[in-house]
Amino acid sequence: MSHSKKILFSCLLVLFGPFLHASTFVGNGGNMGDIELQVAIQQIRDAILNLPDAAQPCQCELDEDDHPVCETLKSLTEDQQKYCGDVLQKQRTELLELLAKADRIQFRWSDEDLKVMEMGRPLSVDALANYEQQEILIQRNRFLSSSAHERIFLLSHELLHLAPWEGKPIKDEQNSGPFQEVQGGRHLLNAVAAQVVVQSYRKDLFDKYEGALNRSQNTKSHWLEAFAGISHQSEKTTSLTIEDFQNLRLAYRYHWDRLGVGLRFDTSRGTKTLFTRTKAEEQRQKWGVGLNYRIVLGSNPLTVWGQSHLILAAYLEMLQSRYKLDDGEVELQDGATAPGATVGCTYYTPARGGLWFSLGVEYSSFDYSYKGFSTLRSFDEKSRLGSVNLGVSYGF
Amino acid sequence: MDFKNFKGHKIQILLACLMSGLMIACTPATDVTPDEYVIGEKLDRVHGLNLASGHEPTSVALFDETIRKIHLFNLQNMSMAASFSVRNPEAAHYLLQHDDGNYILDLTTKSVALIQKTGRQILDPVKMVGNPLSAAFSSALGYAVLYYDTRSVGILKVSDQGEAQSSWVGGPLLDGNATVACGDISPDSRGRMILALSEYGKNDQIAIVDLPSTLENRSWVIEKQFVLPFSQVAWLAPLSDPDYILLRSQNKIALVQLSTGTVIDELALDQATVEKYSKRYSPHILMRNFAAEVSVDSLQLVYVTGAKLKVITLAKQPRTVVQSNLDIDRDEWTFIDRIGGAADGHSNANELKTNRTLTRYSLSSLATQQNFPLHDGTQIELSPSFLFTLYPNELGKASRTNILSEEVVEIAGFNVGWL
Repeated sequence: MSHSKKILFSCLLVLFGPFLHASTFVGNGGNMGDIELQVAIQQIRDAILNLPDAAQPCQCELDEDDHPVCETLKSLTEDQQKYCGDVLQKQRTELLELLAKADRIQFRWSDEDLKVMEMGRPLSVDALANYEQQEILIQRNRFLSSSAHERIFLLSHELLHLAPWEGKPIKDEQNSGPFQEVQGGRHLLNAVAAQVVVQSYRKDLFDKYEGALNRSQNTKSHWLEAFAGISHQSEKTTSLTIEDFQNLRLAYRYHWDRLGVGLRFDTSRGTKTLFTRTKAEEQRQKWGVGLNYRIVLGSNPLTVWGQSHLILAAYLEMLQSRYKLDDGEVELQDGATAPGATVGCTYYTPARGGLWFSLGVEYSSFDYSYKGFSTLRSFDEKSRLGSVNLGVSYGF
Repeated sequence: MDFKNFKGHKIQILLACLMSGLMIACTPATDVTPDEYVIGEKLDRVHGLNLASGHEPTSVALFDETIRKIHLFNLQNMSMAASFSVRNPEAAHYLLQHDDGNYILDLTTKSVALIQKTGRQILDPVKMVGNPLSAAFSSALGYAVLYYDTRSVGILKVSDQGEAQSSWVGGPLLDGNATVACGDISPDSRGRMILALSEYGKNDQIAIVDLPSTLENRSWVIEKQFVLPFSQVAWLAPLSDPDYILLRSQNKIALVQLSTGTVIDELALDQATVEKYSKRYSPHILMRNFAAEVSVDSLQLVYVTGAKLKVITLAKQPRTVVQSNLDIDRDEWTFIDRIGGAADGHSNANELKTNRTLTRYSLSSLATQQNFPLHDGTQIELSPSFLFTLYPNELGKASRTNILSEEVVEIAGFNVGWL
């Protein structure tokens, strides 16, 4: 490989490196489902932390009787309830350590169906725990389509597979304590997981994290945007120069992670009065393609600040402008076309349901001429516009 | 005094006073009009197009009163040839232009500038010894004569390319006690100026001034001088035959032959007032006659043909003529009139810009060849065949209208160059 090719390859690696690895890391807020996963983990942690000091039997209370997880607990015998409560109490510290230390456990997403062989037959599952590798593999679509309590139930079950009990992992197909059937292990872990869900209800953990779940997430790939703003040019380069414009923009962005590409269309209009009564109006339309770079401002993606981000943008644009002069009787028009560039920085703050609000500043540069107005001279515009835009975006 | 008859005298005196009052009231006013007692034409009467009969101009210069610049238009292809900024743009500007558009004399009541078509400007090419009151100009000879409000006379010789070659300012006292009353440049090729001189208690004189020699000697050089049989010559116009001048004295219009120094023909003005003097293209005078035999509102055209004064009466012409072009060779009389005139009754076509109508007659038959209204608010120039109109648009709009066919060629947007 030649030296120049090595440099090019290095540049590409730096540029696209984040995308190549993005799907292998889970929980950092950068992948689809990370927020839901983090919320579920946080809810499990809060539920376990808030367990009573003494072991309590696993059972639903009256106001939770109608809940689906109570079906699991209602079927337990008194011994099983007590044993379930003891297991949860004794595994409490181990579970918290598993969740607290980043190097203890790894969550991985799978976009493929997950199957296990059980009793000689393939069984489709939502998640798989690997005790040796201390890893939980989650089927992403099924996880995201699950309700909040189902996610807690699922993850709690899989976490209990990774926490050794009496020196070894609990498997689904084993008996344990009063859970003596062939799949007593699964029955036990389902009971403990159901109790974690019940504990989450008791501590209002679903309400607590509802905001984080509903908040718009910056990890979306597709962005549709609309902006309205004003532009100003402080220096007149010709007598035709219009200093102030009103702008509208429609844009689409595609983001891998931090880096994205975009396509946008701008239309702007500015007016002023020349001589004493001649109305001048310039209408400008721009098509642009460019690169966007996202900087997330906060470290906790479950917070507003953790979703808020800046987009640094650099666009190459093609300008088509139309200038009209009208003194009430005589109307003149001329047009110009020119390439140019715009750079900008926009701050995005999340709303709900994928919607975002934004505030941005930009600087654009275009050089073009109106030659058709006068045979005596042409008007060479050096447009250097600073802009402020307010926008609303939808990420999906 | 016979005091016994004093009562009867009183009645006679009263009757005499009453009669005198009635006579004064019925006699036409003889106030000096703005066109009188000047050399050439008053500044607000001068025209950019000042060609002799039979010549169609190729360009026209106008001071655009909307954006306060001078525009030079090419009349052949109707385009903007050049445009110039002026000194004192806020002032009223009056233009005299070279026939081929090589230069423009830009006159204001405070200053003079010679503007070459390249844009080079020569400011005050002739010494300013007062405020210019009127100007006479011969594009063919390159002479411009300025008459100041101090009554001094400035003479400027300009080359064909618009270079100021020489100038001199003389006083109004030419010979003895006679001072300049009015005058103009002769159309002959010798560079002569015809002046009427007046002297207290005597009849007026005509002096023919040799302009080249006057400039060379820097003093008045009079080629010929003779006494007229009347006084108070207020206006004179050399005819296309340079041996004749048409003039107006206190109570006469007269045709004078220069070579013989004699009055060839004359017309009494006892009961008439002049409405318009015009030197284009055949000098003529328009007057209102209050004599009993002339119908009310009649307009009388006085001009020279066959070494005779001729008077044509146009009945029921109550509108005020603000510009009149008579072209005997082409048998055309074109004038612009309007309802109501200026306060002094002698407005020009670009002074009051409303309710104007252009009319062209066949001179020989007075058959109407054309009659159409002019756009209000526009500045106009008349050539033999065309009406040039400059509209009061900030972006610039002008049109050239063929007077007979009314075919219009329009251009617009030429002021954008000044944005």
